[in-house]
Amino acid sequence: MNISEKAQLAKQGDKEAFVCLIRAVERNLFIVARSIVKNEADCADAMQETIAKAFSNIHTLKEPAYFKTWIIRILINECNRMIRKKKRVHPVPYDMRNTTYTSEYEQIELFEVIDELDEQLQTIVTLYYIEDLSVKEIAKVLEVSEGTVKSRLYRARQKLSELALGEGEAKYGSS
Amino acid sequence: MDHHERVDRDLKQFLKTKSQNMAIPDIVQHAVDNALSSLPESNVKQRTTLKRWRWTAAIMALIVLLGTVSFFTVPTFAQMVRSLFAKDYTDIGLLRAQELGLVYDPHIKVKDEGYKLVINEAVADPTRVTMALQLFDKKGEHDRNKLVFVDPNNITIKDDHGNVVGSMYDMGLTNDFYYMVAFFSKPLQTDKITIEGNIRTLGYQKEPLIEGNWDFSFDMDMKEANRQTQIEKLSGSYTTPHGMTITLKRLTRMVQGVRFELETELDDTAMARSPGDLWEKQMLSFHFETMEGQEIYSVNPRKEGYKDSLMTSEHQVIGNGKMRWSYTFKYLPEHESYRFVLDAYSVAEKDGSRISFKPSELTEPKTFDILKDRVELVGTSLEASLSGDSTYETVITLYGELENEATYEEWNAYDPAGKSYEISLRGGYSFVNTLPDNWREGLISMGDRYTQQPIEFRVQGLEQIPEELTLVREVVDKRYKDPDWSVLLNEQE
Repeated sequence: MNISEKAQLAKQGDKEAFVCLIRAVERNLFIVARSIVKNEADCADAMQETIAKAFSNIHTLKEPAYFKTWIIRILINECNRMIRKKKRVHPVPYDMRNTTYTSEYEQIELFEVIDELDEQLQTIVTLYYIEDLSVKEIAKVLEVSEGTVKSRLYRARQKLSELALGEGEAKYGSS
Repeated sequence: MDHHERVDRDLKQFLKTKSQNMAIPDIVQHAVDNALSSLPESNVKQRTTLKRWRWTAAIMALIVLLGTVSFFTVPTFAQMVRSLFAKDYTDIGLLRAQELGLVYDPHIKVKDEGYKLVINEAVADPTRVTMALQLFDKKGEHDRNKLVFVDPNNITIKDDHGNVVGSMYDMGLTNDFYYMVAFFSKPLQTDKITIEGNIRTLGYQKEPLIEGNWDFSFDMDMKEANRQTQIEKLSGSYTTPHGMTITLKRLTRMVQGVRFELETELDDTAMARSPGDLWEKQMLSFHFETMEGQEIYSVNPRKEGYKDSLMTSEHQVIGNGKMRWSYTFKYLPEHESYRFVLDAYSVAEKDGSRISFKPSELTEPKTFDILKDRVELVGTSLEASLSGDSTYETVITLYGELENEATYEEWNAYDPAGKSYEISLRGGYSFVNTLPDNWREGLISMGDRYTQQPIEFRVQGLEQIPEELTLVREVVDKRYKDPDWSVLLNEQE
């Protein structure tokens, strides 16, 4: 499926094309949402609202090739709105005693790694490493400066290396 | 490719693989299905109001869980080490430090601006320093988010000559304290270290920064930890079918970790394939297993779901074609025999494989096979340069499946006149076709076919799509998975 073509059709009012687009990015949307709101029910709410908003506003999409970035931006706004409403209460605080985290890396799930980062790094890491957004695109989506994105990525890299790759700070490239 | 780029590539591989393996939870999938089936037929500037939903049961479950969580008190560092161990967290080195009485209480309490920084527990040996740091607010509650270790905040480690030998970072893992660690790729050789904290700001996200002074400094005696260090000489040597000789050197057991050292040497034929400094770009893949064939730890495997315990690793050139490697693991068996198995290795070599195509004829994907690797060109376009300088560059989108490694490969593009252009790569890699019981099989996937996200070869400076384009892989990160060697270690009488 060509995202640009489908997005162009969706822009012209093609509902089926819009549904195809959502099916293509639903996993991406869930991963981004989960990096901001911490439980599945909130992810579901945020994604539902995002889909509705995207459908009714898709005529405002300027560049069909950037559909994914565009809808991620809507989703992030939706998640942030939800957090503001809930005053950032963590319903399930991460706690060693209540999770199944082990250092055996094959058992680490994606969010066990992401959740270990400072909150301000989690979405940036998701967008950069998983969604392949550029620094410039992330800056635009999160409405922060490119310098801020770079410095946060710098901070995230060190900790991620330890968590995900089992590297210490002195590890060089390939082991 | 510099260090950060390599780390980024590895992180992308790891995180993308994890994201691909993750199923969307049912309640989220239902919400998406519900949203899509509730869409009106026309989307012309209509605002659809979807009824929001919530499962009462989910709320109830959360309330119960919150109540349960609040029963717990904050554990001590030692208790947490125990709890980690009880949960199969295999940081046996940290546990051993505790058992040997090497958990040190520096009695650090620094108060300013209503916040109190406390350090009661720290462990140091030649492999690493581990420390629990807590920050209490005016109400006496530990704030896990207020302290961020970025400039001007830092914690450094100095040896007994005052040289900075490392800096600590927050490893995460627990909300109970800031879990500060520093790893040393070469065992520290000092009788005393000094931990110096420069903490001048507190603040989190968009909160206003609180400026103050929570600096601290304390010494840690390393003599007992040094006394616990034992060196075992290793023996065993093997030459691979393609000319790499591997020689095991020694094992250094320290309180919190084990350092494993070996040397490699390439023969003349192998060196001829990797002229200049290409031969220095190598990677080893190996694993340790029990006598029953159970995996202990693996390094750089293609195995699906492997056990990792690596804290640091490094390699350095010690002669022409010769390299010395060292790896520090959290643990290797002390009292049982186990086996070292060499699985594969890679060396950057000159390649020259060419892919020529006419962009205008790329109306459907075109596949090329080069040295056991497969590249599928998907499309060509002209796009604004990522450098943001208002120029354009040719972008080739493609998928690929590599038998070889990707870390050190280099590509260039050539126009019909033979002019060369550098290629920068954008996109993600992941492992595919890996197996849970095989360390050697599996491929590196360039791009993500599942989400239909090919990678991009961005040809810098090529401002018009030429009639014909040639891509040349100048350097291949050649992977050899044909070693057939294992060594029995810690042989018991």
